[in-house]
Amino acid sequence: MKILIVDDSNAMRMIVRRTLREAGFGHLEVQQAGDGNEALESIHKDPPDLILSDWNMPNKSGLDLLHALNEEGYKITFGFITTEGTAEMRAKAAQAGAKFIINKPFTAETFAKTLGAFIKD
Amino acid sequence: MLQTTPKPDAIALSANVLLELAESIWSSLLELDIQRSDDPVTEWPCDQPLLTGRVVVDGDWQGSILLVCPKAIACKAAAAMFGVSPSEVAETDLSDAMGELTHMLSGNLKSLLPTPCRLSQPSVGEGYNITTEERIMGQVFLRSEGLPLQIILFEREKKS
Repeated sequence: MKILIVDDSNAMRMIVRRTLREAGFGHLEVQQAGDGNEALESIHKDPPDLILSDWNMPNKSGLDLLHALNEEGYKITFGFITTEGTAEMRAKAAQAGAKFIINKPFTAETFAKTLGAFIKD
Repeated sequence: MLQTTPKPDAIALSANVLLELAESIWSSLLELDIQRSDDPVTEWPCDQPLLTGRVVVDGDWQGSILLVCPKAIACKAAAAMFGVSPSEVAETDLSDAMGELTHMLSGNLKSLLPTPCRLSQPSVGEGYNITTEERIMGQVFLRSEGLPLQIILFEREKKS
């Protein structure tokens, strides 16, 4: 199973990778992208099974990325990892088909509980 | 011009709210100690530069959120984030980590601000620059790893 982490912060991508390991998902293949455009390129070449995306990124936001994937017909499990968790944002994410939102800062327990439902060994 | 009296829709955040946010980030992501400092920082350590992370808030409420700390703290935070020793932290990683910390604080504060509002991408620079067009609506002085840091919420007067 492959996971694509999309975040413009290299530091945050590192933390997400580390937290995935701490949550018991260290065996999964992980790809990374620095924004929505990079993510799309990566997905076109090698589609992942799960996308963990930041919301607020330069060039192409996480929501724009999800909309683009919907338009292209991809059916990849998509979740946001973001600092923002307003009701408006949650509604937009759900409407676009996001399966979950994990708020920053997060813990390994949050990852295990939230992602466990979507990650198959 | 500076506002001298709060507007009806003005918001003010207590130092405890800012402290709780900082504690949650420091403990869950950095595993570094952080405590509230009883004394406001009047003199920053002069043997190293200060870094300031800033996120601008625009919309129904306008202002900015700043994280100010000596470079040594930012370096320790970056080292914790990247899983390396402080001496191995590159300048770009330092700026990235500082920006992400400021953005995390801002994103969590956003839910306490009048809506709708949006956050800018974080910017990080050296020094302690505050414009006189902004007034402080909340701040907290903290200490982490024995060094001071400050979180400040500024409100900017709306231009008509």
